[in-house]
Amino acid sequence: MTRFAAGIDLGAACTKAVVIDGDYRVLASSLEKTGFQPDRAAARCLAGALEAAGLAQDDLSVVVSTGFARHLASMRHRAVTELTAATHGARLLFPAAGSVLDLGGQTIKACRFDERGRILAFRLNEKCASGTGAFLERTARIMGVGLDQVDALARQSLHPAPISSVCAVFAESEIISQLMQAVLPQDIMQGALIACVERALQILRQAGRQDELVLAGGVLHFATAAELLQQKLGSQVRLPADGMRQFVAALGAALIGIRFGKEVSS
Amino acid sequence: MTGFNPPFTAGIDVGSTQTKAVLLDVSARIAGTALIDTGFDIDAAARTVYARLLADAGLRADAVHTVAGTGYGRFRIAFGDLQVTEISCHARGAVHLFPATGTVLDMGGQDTKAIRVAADGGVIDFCMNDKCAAGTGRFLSAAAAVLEMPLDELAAVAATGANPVTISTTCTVFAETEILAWVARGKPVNDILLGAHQAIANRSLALLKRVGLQPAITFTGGVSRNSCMVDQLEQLLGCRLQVGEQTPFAGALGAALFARDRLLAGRQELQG
Repeated sequence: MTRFAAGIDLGAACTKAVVIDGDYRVLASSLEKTGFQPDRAAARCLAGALEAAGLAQDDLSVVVSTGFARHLASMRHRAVTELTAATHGARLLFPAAGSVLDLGGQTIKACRFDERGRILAFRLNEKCASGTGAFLERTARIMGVGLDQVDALARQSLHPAPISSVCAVFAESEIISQLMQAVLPQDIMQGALIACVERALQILRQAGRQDELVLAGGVLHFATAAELLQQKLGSQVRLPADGMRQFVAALGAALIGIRFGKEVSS
Repeated sequence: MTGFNPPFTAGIDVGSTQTKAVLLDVSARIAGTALIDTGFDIDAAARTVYARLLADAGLRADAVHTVAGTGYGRFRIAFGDLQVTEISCHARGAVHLFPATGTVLDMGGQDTKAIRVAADGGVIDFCMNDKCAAGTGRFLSAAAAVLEMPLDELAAVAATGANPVTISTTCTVFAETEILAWVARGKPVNDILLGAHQAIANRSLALLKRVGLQPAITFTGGVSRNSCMVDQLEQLLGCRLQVGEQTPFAGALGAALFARDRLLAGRQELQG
């Protein structure tokens, strides 16, 4: 009998689910806004992934949850921290990976691990929304730009506008004042993306980087952010395929399910 | 009009959220106040509030000797004669309103400052949230926005809360999410709002302690209008705050007093 496992990553902004088989092949993935009922988002998300994979919940031998709301996923057999999950996911995608930098909706995580996947050091943004996806969303909202137009706009920028404020709230005022001074929207958008990237790099520096570095998280859907990071970080940077970038932790959770089953709880 | 010099001075405090103006007569009595939302166009806000100040007092612009600007937009007031930092202005304005002031807590739309002041209104020391909007009025306007409630109703609703929630996030952006999560969990709005007020009061207590608490404490800035915040701060501090109708205007008042210094200096020159 083929074994299947699901990993569900209940993030602050989005919930992601991945279904894999016993050979760690990804069968399907699904994404939902987390909203205020993470358990329901997780259930919907898992149902979506199962449907896409042509499986029923009974086909799953194990469900592993991760992410900040991992303990709210009622269908979980076990829960693992997002650092553990991201580490496993990154190593599955890139076996030589030594660190992962995850740029999420509300969190930025940098994590360094050894060749066996044991975490050596990590750093999170913790108390501050600076440089997170939430900051980019707000910037786009102020300028009346849809999230799908962010890249197209930023690409027109010739002179990115520096954003000096660290605080996302102050940055908003700074952006409004730049708009009033007729700074071009594309330069502001590009400036905001640069600010996000700089903040993520700062967190990465604190954790320490170890090659290869795997990039992950929803912010990478902005191709501009991914390109800026690749420019700044040089070689030995691994960018998962477009459809996988946001699912690295969910993939890692599913992998842990196949490898370790549902008995041990962590 | 009598005399060589126009007898009035004005202070305009261009804050991140609201723009305030105070008109002073030559004896340093407040002859008028005006307040509008700052909006996007700082210079327009300053011009509008100044025009309203003059119109309410029935004066023409040439009745005003000097206009001083303060607040974060002070350098964008095209018609301003001098600019003074908001720290100096709040200190001076607070001591003018309450001469016993030893410490000023100024809570504005985007910043909160604790200022230790001398008896003459001079600044001894200050500290402020320069990098982070946590614990500012912005936190309350974010709460008002996510709860879809007018800002001026917040205090009254919060005051009816009995079991305040704990807002554990520091960041204003994350706090919005946390507030919505409390709503989703079915917490009453008044308890959520009371929790938000407590979170800000706690933040500003830390600022006050850093600058060194010297009684009496005068509460200035736009949030000093908020009676629930006054209650929460008084409970935390274990003492009464000096606060009144004019305290939201303390910065503009201080600026008008600095403008009046110039007026008086001019008179001395004429007399000397």
